Amino acid sequence: MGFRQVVKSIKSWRVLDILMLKHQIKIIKEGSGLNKQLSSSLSSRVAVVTGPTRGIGVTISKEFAENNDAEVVICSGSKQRALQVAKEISGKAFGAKLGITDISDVLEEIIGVRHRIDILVNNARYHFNSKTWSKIRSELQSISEVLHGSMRTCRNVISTIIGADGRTTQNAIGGRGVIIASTPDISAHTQGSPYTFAKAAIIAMIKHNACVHGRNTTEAFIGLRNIAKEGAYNSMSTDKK
Amino acid sequence: MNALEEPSMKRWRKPGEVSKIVARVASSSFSFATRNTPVVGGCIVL
Repeated sequence: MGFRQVVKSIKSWRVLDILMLKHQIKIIKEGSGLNKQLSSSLSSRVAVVTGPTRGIGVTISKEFAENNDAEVVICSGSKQRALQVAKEISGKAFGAKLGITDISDVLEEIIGVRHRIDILVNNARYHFNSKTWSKIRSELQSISEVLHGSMRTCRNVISTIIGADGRTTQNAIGGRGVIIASTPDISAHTQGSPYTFAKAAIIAMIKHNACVHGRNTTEAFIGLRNIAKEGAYNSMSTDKK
Repeated sequence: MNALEEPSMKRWRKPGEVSKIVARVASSSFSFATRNTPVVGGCIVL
C-alpha cells in the first residue's frame, strides 16, 4: 500500500467516524425526545392516585410529580398521612382524604381546585391475613370488599374524568385509568380458592371498566398484577421460606 | 406449588420498575391499548 493510499484510507475512516458520531448523536437526541414526549404528555395533567402512602403508591406519585411534572392528588383514608406523603414529594403533590364508602367529597374538593381529573391510578392492595386464610368464606369476604372499593372508586372518578357527572368545570378531554391490582401477599400462597377468585375478579373488573367507559374516552385499563416483591416472601411461613 | 421455586429473575422488583410502567401507560403512548392486564412479576407467573 502506497503513501497516498494510506492517507486516503485514513481520511475515509475519519469520514466514517464523523458519520458514526453524527448517527450516535442523532440516536441520543431521539432518545431524549421520547422522554420529553412522555413528560410533556403528562405535564400539568391531574392524576388521582389511591393507596399511595406506602410502597408502590409512593413511587408512582413521585414518578408522576417529580419526573413528569404532573399534578398528583394523593388520596388516602388518612388525610394526615396523605398530606405527609405529599410533603415528601418535590413537585405538585396534594393530599386528600378518600372516604371508604363515599368519595363524592374528595371529588368535589379536587374539582373545586384543579377543575378536572385526567388520570386515575387505582392502587388496590389486598392484605394477606393469616388469621382468615384458613377460613375461605372470610377470605373471600375480604377480597370482595377490596374489589368493591376499587369498583366504586373507578366508577366515580371515571365519571368525573369523562365529564359525565357534571362536576367538571373545564372541558373533559378524556383520560386514562390504570388499576394496579397487586396481590403479592397471597401470590406465594397458591393453595385454595381465594387467590384464584381474586385473580379472576381483578381481570374481570378491569375488562368491565374498559367495556363500560372505554368508548367514551381514551382510557387504558391495565392491571399490573402479581407484582413480585418482598412482601410475598415475608408473608410465607418459615418452613415455606 | 411454591411460587418461589419457579424459574424467575431471582430478585424482587425495584420500586421504579412498576412506577415507570404506570407513567408510560397513563401517557399518550398507549392511546390505542385497553383491557390489558400485564403481569409485572419478574417471571413468576401463577
